[in-house]
Amino acid sequence: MKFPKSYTYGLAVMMLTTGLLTACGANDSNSSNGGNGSTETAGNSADGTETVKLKVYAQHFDDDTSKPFDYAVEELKKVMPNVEIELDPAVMDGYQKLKTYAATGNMPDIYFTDWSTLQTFAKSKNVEVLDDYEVTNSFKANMTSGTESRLVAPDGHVYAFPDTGIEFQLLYYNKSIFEKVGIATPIKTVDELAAAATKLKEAGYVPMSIFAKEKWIPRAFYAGFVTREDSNGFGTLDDANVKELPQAFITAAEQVKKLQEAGLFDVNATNTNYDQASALFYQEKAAMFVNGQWEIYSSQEKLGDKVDWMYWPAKDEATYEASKLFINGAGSPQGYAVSPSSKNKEIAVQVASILAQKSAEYRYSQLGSPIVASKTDKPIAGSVPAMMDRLAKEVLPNAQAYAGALNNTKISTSLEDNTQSLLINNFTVEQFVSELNRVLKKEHP
Amino acid sequence: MNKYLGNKLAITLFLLPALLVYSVILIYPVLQTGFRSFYDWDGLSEATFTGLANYKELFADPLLTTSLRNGLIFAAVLAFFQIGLGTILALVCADERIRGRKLLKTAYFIPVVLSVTVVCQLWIAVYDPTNGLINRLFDILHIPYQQNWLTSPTHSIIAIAFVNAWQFMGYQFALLYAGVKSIPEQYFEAATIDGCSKWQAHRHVTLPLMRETYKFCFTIAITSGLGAFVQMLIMTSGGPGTSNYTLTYMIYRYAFMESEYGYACAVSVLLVAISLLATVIINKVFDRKEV
Amino acid sequence: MQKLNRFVLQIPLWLYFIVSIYPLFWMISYSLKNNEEIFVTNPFGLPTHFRFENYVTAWSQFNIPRYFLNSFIVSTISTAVIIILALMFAFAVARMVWRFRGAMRTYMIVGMFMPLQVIMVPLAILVRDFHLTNTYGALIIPYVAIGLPFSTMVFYGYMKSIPREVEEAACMDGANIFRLFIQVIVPMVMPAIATVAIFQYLNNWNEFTLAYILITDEMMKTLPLGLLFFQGTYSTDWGGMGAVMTMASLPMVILYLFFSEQVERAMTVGSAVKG
Repeated sequence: MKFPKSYTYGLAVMMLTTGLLTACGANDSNSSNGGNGSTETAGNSADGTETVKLKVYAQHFDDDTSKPFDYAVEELKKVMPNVEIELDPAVMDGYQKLKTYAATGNMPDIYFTDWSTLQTFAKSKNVEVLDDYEVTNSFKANMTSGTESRLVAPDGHVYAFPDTGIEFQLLYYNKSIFEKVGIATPIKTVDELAAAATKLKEAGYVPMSIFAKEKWIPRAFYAGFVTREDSNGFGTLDDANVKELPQAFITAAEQVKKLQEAGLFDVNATNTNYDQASALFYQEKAAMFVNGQWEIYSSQEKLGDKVDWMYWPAKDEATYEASKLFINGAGSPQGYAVSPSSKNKEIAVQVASILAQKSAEYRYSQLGSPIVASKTDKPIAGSVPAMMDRLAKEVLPNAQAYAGALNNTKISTSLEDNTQSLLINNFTVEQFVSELNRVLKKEHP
Repeated sequence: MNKYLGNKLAITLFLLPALLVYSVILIYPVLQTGFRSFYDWDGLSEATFTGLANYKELFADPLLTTSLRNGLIFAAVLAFFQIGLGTILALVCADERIRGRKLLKTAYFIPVVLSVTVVCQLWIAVYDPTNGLINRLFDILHIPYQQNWLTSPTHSIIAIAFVNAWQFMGYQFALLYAGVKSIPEQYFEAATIDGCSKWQAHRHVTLPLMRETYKFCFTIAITSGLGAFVQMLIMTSGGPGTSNYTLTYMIYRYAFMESEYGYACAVSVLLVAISLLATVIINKVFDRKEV
Repeated sequence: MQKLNRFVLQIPLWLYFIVSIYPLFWMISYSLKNNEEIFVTNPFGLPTHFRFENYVTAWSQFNIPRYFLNSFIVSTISTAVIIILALMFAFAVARMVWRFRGAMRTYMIVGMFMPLQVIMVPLAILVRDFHLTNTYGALIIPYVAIGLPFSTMVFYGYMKSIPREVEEAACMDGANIFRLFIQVIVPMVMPAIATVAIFQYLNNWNEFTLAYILITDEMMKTLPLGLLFFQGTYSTDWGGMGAVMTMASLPMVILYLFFSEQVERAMTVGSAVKG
């Protein structure tokens, strides 16, 4: 994503003028904020052009979050030298602080957030609708195929510019442990996986380490089985006509329960965090691991050629072959959004789009990740891990379907709670079904 | 005398500063919470008045049963462990003949000084089913009582309550110790001269004189048990499932995870009401014993 | 024989002593380990290799002296204000004679039961409206308000147990009500003041939630917020967190060791006055 030079120049001039205009015309709704208002139009810089300061609230606390962002900011300077980014670093708090900013009328010009927060902000007019902006069209035109659902919300509007593509989870396994214990690969059915679990356990391994203290992971593990039965995945539950848990979901629950009873998980699974679970896998005490595709980098680094990923198994081989290219990840909007109260809204929209595209560029060119929302003409620097290569060649071009998004937060949190419970003894499939039926009945009257 | 202690100007001057800060910063948000509990509101958008709908929904919410049950268990564990052990240790440490009592007294307070995060991390390790200290200890002693301390939906709340009880026992201990110390020595001496044993003297002299302290300790233990939250958040994230939920955890979930601020406000009102009720009951119980 | 008996009786006291100070040792060793040792290989013992780099990382991640200073200022001022206001309030309610003191006492308790999670947003709006955002006041004033119910309750309990004769004597002597408060009542509740001071100081020092929500300026952040620098998207640097927690807690432990001596002395003085 490189701008031609002349275009860059024109863009800068254009934005400068709009910047001036909006700065003059903006009504000062944030004046009661004292010195902490969101935007400031600072004085003139040396060459006589006016600098625009934008406050950006984005995750910036480790390599995964700070490197793409810093890269994007550097690249932004080349395209829009008059824009100064003031970073307000966010941490993972469920967007609690961002919501407080919204409640106190103290929104940053640009912020990074997820779909559930965007929904609330759309209702309360704390997010700018980007549908009619010029940049939105050019952003859309430059997206990688199949990622539109990251940009365009189910209600048809555009609220934020995404950087990553549709992410999904993989089952990682240690090839050398599988060989040692004598487990044939690929595992295609749930029964085979259950048998493997028993074998591994007898051989003294933890069959699968899972950081189920974070509830999204048992939910994702379960989603994998649902997708084998229903390509729409959790998206099916968003349909207001679904008043009872469909068979696909019951089958998947029975499968997870069966695996739990076969000893696939550690007894402490629901109280294991990422660091404990990954340590078990990397020290080769656990034979399998479940996490998003982003785990490819560290697993390749720690285990080299010993590690690979496999498709989620299904009830029988025929189903497996028919459905293995149904992707369990669902695309829901996420990314850099703009506050309607920003004094330099026009510029902020431009900047948000560039931040998203440039951070995608970093992920693609520096990390070799094909899971990005926008295309870039920068080549991949360095080598791509074999597992990522396999993903890019075997899965992404052949993907038959992506799961639908589940937008209802109540059903979604109930799935998290109850899939986590499936991993412990004494919690039955019947309990699972009746809990979800109760929530479905309430949400889809 | 009453005129001396009824000086209106003095009363106003004494009350005003505290009252002002407290009312504006704490009571005003509390009132707002009460007001918002009658609305369907996500915390940001326009709110719609829905009357008692939130409360009706609340009393049908299965999470409420779990949360109340856990709150009561938590409160019971705190009251029993902290005040029981706190009393014994306070009386022992007040006894001049115990050697090293200063050292003991200081040590018992140490867990309070540490942050909750540190203590929770420690106990997560202690409770670990395979590497944890407790299960290993049972193993060494050949007691076949291996437990999954933090993953049992029915028992983990007790394990977690115990962590809180243990960490803040020092609080109650310090309060009780100060209580024991503030009783004039002569009372106790008089009783022992009358032929009471040491423990009898405590039972009949020291403890009754500490009624106000106990009233306070019970109030703190029980209400902080009902409103407990952080330990569950750190140690089990409220799980497995929702089995470790408490009222405050419910509030956290509805206000921040599900954007149902109005509903969260209704839960808060219930929590305040229950805590007040508990305070009133504790006061009644202790005042009756005065007779 | 009796000596032996007493010795045996004291064993549980010393066992509990170990259980109480072990976390201190554990925290310090934790801060010198990496994730692998913390979770899998060696959760309880001394670190096999002392990783002082955790402290170096912590030091390089954020401005520790500044955070430290902020914590110190906020905790000290809040604690002092809490004690003064709570003493005055408790005195008026516990010792003075007027009609609505029972109701006033209940009123002061209500705020203690309100979970922070739900008043956080209205509080943030108040802080903005008072133009306190990113000042020490943004933390001090809420801390004072939150500390008041507990402190007044403690003081109330102690003041209630002071015999009536004390006031009668002061009245006879012709001391006015303010002198009675400052010169007679306050010294008598010294043990309580010392206890409350420790409690409140610790609470304010360790407070995380409000500081996280209300402070955005790097120059105003308090020590517990340093923990945020060790959280990763997927993985967390627990050793680094341990280093921050040790740096935050050790001064408190030392302060407490020093202060507990004072408390003890205050108690002796307190009971001497009373006797």
